[in-house]
Amino acid sequence: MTQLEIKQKLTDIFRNVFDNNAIEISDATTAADIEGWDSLTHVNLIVAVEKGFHVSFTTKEVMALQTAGDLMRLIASRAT
Amino acid sequence: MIRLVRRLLLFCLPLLLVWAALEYRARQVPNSYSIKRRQVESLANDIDTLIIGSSSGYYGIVPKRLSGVAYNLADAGETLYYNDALAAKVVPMLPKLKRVVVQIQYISLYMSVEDGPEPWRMYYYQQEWAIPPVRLKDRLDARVFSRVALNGPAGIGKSLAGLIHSQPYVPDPIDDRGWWGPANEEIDPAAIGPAGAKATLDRHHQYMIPALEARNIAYLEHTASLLRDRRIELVFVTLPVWRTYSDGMNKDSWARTQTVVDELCKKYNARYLSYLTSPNFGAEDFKDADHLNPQGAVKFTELLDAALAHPGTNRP
Amino acid sequence: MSFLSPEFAVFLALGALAFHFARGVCRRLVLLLLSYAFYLTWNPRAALLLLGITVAVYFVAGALEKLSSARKKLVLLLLSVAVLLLLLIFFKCAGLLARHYLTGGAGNALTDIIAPIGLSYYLFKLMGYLLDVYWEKIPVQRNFLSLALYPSFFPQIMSGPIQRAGDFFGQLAQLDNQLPDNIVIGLRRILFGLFKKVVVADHISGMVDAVHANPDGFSPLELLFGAYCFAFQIYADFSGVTDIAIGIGLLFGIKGPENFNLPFWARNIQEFWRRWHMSLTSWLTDYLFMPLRFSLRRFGEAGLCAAIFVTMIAVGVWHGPRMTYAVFGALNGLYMAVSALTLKKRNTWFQKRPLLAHVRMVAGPLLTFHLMVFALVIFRADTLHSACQYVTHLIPGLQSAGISTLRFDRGLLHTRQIALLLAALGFAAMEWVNWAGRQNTWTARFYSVPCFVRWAAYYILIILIACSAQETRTFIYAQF
Repeated sequence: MTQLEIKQKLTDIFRNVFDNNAIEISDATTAADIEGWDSLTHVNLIVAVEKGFHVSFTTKEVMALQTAGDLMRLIASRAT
Repeated sequence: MIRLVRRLLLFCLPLLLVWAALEYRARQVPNSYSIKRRQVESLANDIDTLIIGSSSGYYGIVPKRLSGVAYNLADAGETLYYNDALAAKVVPMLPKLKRVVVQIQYISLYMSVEDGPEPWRMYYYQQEWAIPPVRLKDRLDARVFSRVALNGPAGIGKSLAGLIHSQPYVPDPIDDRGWWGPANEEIDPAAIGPAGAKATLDRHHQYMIPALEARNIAYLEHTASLLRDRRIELVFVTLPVWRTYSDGMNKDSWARTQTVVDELCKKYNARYLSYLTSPNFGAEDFKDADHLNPQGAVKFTELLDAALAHPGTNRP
Repeated sequence: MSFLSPEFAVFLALGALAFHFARGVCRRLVLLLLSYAFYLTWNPRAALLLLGITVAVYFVAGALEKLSSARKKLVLLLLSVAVLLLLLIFFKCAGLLARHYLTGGAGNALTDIIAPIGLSYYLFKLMGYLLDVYWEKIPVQRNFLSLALYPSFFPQIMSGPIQRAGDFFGQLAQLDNQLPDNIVIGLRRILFGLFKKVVVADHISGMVDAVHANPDGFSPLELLFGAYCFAFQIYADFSGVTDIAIGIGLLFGIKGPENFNLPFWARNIQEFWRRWHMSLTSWLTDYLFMPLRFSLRRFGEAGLCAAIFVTMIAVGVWHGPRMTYAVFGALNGLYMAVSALTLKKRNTWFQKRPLLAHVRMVAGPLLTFHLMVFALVIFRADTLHSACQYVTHLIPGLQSAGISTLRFDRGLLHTRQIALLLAALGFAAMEWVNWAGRQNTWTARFYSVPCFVRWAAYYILIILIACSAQETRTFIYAQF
């Protein structure tokens, strides 16, 4: 998958999980930028990403994530 | 940075001025220590008998009923460390001093102010008599020099209000020879009874520390040897307590204290007059289980005066 | 040395002076010496423990970085975190175990063990550091001086806030670029914190102590009043001590994390815990909740609830091994699970009813506040039994015989009208300042006002603090 495809698919997942079709994500997007994205819903997002991209993450990888960009890079490293 | 320091100092200036004013006012308020120091200094040339001890002696010995010119330097909560330190300071001030009466009680050998119920007294001794606290860590306290700190934060509000309009001062009932004896004291009979005595004994037992014995004996020795060197007569005295109190005393501790005092008497040629369970005193002479009331104090002092007059009397 | 003693003020002044005249390594050295000197005034032997644990963590972190095998890393991490956790549990529970379960010599030796001061705070800091190194969120701290400063940093050791390692080391690196402004900001914060503690919290504490000591003897109105007051007291006390800690840290160029963000205005329970004791809850969220929730993700909503319960009970028992704290945690777990599971549905429901949505803006915070007041009654109670007594006697009709429902006896409550008034006004002022401090318009106005007006405000605060100070009461959160 290309970078653009990952970003597109991830944006869809974000919009789905947080019930907001206006969400746009960038490399630097963090939880502070998106309404409803907190510790309680974060794992819902990760689960949706795992399902959507057919990948599986370790706890260590997930704990190291700080931004949407980190997530995209993580997905890219898995999807190859 | 320098500018900041200057501004901080400028900010603190009014606070320091207010604090200085509070300190000044606080020091104007007399307390038993300042009163006694002034009295001793003014009577220095005439005193021939000095009484040292704790609240038992403070309330229980009436100097005006003793022959000659006596002064009662005892104060509430005083321990042997302070007895000794005060003796060292005051005795040299009194050219006519012939006799020192040291009051010993049940708790004497086992108490210290810093480990007792009223440790703040250390700082009054420091401020009024320049007697430092025993422990180093107690000497590193703001109360060593600040009367405002010693009065505590609760006093600041009152003091600030007092800066604006003066509060009436109610003097302590200390007579001009250092005896504390209010004219009409209200006595609570329950204080003399078994419950009151038990409360007092429990409090005393709570603060008695056996490990302090050696130190306290050393203080007694020091006082005794100071007096012997100056050829001043030393008389140990134990004031009466009511039977509800004496019944609850630990017999071993008291026996030990008496042995210590008897040995000191032998070594320093001193006398010990113990009236602990003297039959001359009834319930009407006490204000609580271990302190005489003014009436009892007068009675006691007259007995003491008679005993002092007969050099041979020991352990009446 | 308590934060509230004159000796501490002298210690602080001299320390700040020494710090500002030093440069480079010397600054960190001065800070370390100050921190250990401060700790030594409380407990010399515990200082050795702190030093020992710091040395051990230093080597473990180094090993975590050097080890190549992922499995070995995990084992080392789990082992070291387990040891730190066991230490915490041991010290917290030793006294309890001794009193209730052990008799004889072993029991007597244990009863005397009191948890060293600041243990909960510094062990959490170090555990977080190790986890951050393991998860490669921050590099290993190679400088022992800097690492030693992290758990022992004296403004934060008594009652937090729990600062993260990355944040702390980042600020430590900037120690030489200190703005003089930090000192003024720091002093202002200390003053404000003292005001909250002494003028607001301490005036309420007598009454709260009275109702909790004897819930049987009070009317429902008095108990209700006591419950509200405890919520205000613990908020004022703890946010006050946090302000003092942050203010002192600022004097030395280190800004600690905030602990409070207008918590009583939270719209729901999740938001409340994002605004209350933030440094602890965010720590537990990042290091307990997230890994746990992630491992349980296959169990969907059940996994979420389990993770929430475990985390909230941890919040409770972090305060101590008491049933009241555990129940407090479990109750909050219940609140949060229910709220988290139903939030989406509630949002959709209210979206369709705009008028009710307006009511929700007021009802939400009110309800959340009351849920917390109730939970805090249990938190404050001496035993679970007295908590139950308190709660039952709150209900009109169930109070002790002879007490009318609406009785309000100030004498029994150990409070004077003026003290209550002062506390109430103080609380209102404090919340207003908390709010205005976050508004740019108000902060701009504050700075544009002539200097002597600000100084007058400071002098008034100082006088109020001096007049309100009673016998120094310890901070509630210094015992945790």
